[in-house]
Amino acid sequence: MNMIVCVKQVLDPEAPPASFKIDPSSNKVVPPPGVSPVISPFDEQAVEAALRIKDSQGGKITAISLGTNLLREVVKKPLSMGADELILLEDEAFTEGDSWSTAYALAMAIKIIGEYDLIFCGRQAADWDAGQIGSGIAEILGLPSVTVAKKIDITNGKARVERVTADGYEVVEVSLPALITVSNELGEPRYATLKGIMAAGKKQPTIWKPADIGVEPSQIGAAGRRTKLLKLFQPVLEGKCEIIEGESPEEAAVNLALKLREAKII
Amino acid sequence: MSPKKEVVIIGGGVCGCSIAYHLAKQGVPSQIIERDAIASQASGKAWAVISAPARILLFFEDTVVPRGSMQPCLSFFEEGFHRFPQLALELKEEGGVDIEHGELPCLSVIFQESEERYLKERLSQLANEGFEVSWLEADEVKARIPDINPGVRGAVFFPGQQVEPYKYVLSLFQAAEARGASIKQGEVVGFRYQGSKVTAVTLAKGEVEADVVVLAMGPWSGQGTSWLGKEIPVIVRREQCLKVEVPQRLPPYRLLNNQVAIIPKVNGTVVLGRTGAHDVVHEEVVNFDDRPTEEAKTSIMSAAVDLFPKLEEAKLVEHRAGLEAWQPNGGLPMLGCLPGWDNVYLAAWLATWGIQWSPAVGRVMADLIVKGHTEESIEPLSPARLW
Repeated sequence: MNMIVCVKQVLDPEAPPASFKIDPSSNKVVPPPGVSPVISPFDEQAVEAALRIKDSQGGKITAISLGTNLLREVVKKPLSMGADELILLEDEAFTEGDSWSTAYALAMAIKIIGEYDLIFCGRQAADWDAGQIGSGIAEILGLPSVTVAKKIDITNGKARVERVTADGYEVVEVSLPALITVSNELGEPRYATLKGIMAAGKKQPTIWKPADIGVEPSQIGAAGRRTKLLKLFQPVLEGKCEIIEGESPEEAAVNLALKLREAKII
Repeated sequence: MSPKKEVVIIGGGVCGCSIAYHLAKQGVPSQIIERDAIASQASGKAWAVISAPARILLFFEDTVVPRGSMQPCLSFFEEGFHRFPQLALELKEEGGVDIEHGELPCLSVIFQESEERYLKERLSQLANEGFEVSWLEADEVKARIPDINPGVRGAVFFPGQQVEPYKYVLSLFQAAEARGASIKQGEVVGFRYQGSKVTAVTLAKGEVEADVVVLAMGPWSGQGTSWLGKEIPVIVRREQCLKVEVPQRLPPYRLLNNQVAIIPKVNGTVVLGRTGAHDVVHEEVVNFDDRPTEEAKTSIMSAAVDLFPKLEEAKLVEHRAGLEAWQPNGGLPMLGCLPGWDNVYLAAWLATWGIQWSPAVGRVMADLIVKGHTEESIEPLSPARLW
């Protein structure tokens, strides 16, 4: 089973909201100082999904990431968890893309990798939350795709996927090769072992430039965008807090119940 | 002093919380001002081991600082070592938290012949001075730790203990709180004073009136004292460790060589810390840089796997770093009244022993504040020695 997992380095979504700033002139997020980037959490779950298949029936996992200033200790995380190879599309030309141009670059790189049975992506990246890369890659490569998976079983050359829905899940079967996006309902990704981290430390990622995947810089990154970002802003959140008084805790609770009833909440 | 006085402790680490606990036991409630949260800095991230005093004499004095220089606070090591078993019970009762205290003997293992010669000589000197120390030959070490690197030549054995650092500090505070202490979140930015008395602590938002002020600010003690015109020098050092999960429990020993410490905690996780040729390595840092580094992670992992090869199957759960406050030369703490001020007390330079010393530091500072004197002389630790 040859598997490819797309992973993205993002600003740590767990960093305090107040530390995020936006530069309005460039419509860009200013990275919070002192906060290290991380692999987008859904992408870690995508790595975990591939590892579970490798655990049960063997196979090879190639992780692929795109961007610039990719911190090795961050993007090597899939290797330390148990992936076999890491390919980085690392060039200025790949950056500032939209969902289309990024999916296009990844799809072209996956074509160069050639042999694959399954491609995994996280359901969406923790920075833009667009959730279009997986479907985009599948479309460009002409593959079937299943989104927001929570469980994947491989039997007789097919993937049986439990797919999260609003009020439960549905079971979908898809022939291979296919692309699957993975949701957090899959469960926690594994911690890396010391052995895995040390082995990953010794591995060197393969670096690909646009020419290596047969694309022109005009087709990818900012130049290849099909959408234009007009405005990026932080929403103003307003909270209203009212302390419900009462002579005793019981009376305060009664007053609270009355207020909630007045507000038609209960 | 009258119990009505407002004692304000700046800093909610192990030092401030132990002082609050010991004050509360004497009937004096205090208010802790903390910028973040209880034990949110080094106190909550420590190895939290309690060493036999002889270990300090063997692996710190004579190698890092001159022999005999730790004498003025040797009793602090002893007090911690003797009080923790009882303190753990008291805190469970009064603070409502199990601090996960447990016996954890320490094996300082040796791989070089030259080290063995030096240590055996020092061990016999310490034994002559009445300290409880013993040497284990390689086969005795392997009997206790069957999976240790087989190249081990022997080990120095010390009795030892451990706690869970965050739970310990939290429990100290909760026990104090049960007797009337309180905590206020806020960033101290200065003081209001009249003559030689501080009358209020100024916060970024608002202020707190004070009859007595205690500075327990750890690495930030330099800043705190500078507002009062008596800035003490502080060397800020970063200690880093890894927390790992292991498939099988490790033998119950703190295992150290000259690169790494392996500390099996009561809850089954294991803390891996960095050591040096002579005890703990601390990187000196500027601007309170407490970010963990990749270099430390890599070196701790490879040294740990070298010492105890089965650790390669361990899973890395957390990499944490905390800042310690050291005096520029040596390891003695600074405890006492801040010269020039009638009502300001200082507890600083607790170095890497904040947890071990905390029972003594809390007791001494509370006595000083409430009774005006301490059982033993703490003259050699007094801030007055700087001026």
